[in-house]
Amino acid sequence: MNFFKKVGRPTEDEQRMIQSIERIITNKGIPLDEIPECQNLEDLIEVKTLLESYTPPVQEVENLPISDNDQEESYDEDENDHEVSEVTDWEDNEEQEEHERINANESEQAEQKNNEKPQFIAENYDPFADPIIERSYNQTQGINQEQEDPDEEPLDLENTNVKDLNPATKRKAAEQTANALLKGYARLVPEPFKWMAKLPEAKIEKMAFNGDLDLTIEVSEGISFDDYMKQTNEQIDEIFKVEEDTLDEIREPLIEVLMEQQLELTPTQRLTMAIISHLAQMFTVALKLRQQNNRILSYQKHLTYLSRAKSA
Amino acid sequence: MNFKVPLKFEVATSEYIQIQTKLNLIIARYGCEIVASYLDSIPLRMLKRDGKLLGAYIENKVCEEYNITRYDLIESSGREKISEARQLLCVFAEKYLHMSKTDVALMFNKSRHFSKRMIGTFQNKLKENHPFDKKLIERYRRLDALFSAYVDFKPIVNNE
Repeated sequence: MNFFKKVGRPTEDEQRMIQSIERIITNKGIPLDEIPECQNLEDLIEVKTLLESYTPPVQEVENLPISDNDQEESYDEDENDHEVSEVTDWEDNEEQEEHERINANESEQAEQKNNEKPQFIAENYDPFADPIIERSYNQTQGINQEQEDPDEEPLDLENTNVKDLNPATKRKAAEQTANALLKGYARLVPEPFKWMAKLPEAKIEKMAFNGDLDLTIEVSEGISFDDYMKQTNEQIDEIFKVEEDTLDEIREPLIEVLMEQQLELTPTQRLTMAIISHLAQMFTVALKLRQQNNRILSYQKHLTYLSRAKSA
Repeated sequence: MNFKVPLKFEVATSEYIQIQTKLNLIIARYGCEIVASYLDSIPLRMLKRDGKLLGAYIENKVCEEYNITRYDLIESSGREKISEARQLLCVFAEKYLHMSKTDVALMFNKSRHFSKRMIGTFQNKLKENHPFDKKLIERYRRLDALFSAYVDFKPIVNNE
């Protein structure tokens, strides 16, 4: 549990993750020093994912005996060369010997690095699972670089054009949703305002019929009350009609809000909304026609009654 | 729903009456349909594995991840995060609880085609690993790590 450095007691989830990580460490024989420090549950989950994709280096060393021998042979040859040069030049220059010793130490260090490299390039090694990629190793070893090049291509793809699909698709869905909402808005919202602002034709006609009101009296020059009422109601219809420009003004901010809130409707919901909007519009028209018919019917009934009374 | 109901079971009368009254009150408050849907989700919550209430843990963690309630899962809503939460719940219920697709779908009061479609779609996404689904896959991996740790966890017992 040395890798978990949180101050205070770990939570139940953290305890489970720690035990799970310790089990992986034991099974795979990973030294505890190599486990990165963790501060919270997120770090533990990340470490667990990394360790699950980790392959023990023992198998890799077994697979590479030939390269080690080659390196040893080359090293021996180098040493022989150095010995020859030492025999010839020993008496001439002592400084050169020191220089060669330094070179030999450097070559040993380089060899150690070369021996470590194969641990990172096993067949099961997944560069995407491990965030720590030692680029310097890949650059020094030209042969292994060829094996890793094809694996690096998806990284480039991820960072370029494919990533752009996400906001574009989201915007398209948001635009379709906004259009559906605005259609419903344009159809339904003006209705209550019209109802409030209009002169009640049915009520006025009834009053005129009963003799409480005379529609033929001129309101202004040459315009009777009946004409005035019809003109006013037509104007109100025009005033409360939602213009295309208004919808365009609302559309853009609505799309932004929908994208921000992630409230895009599914195709089924858009279809349902369109149908409901259409049904509501038809219902409104049918209601108006029904009221008009009832009114005419009641007038006819009353007129018939009056004509009968006169004839009697 | 297929249940293996025991032939005999014992329950105290007072306890039974209390539960029954509570159920009646909840039905009066929320209506039969919602209560029936909620009752369908109980088998998942009660499912155990190695003596642990894994079903409840999975449901809680999925809801916590998406910041939604258990009620949202059974509610008739097509919002993106609720839909994703349902999808992950189907996947994990099949993976860790070994529930059949029919039983998984019954949790949401749907036919087995629902869970089949949900699980199939997610497996394709996981296989494709498209950047468009990066967030969903990250959530899946995170929850998967939590659930596997929960299943493998063995409490340390002091023998002293």
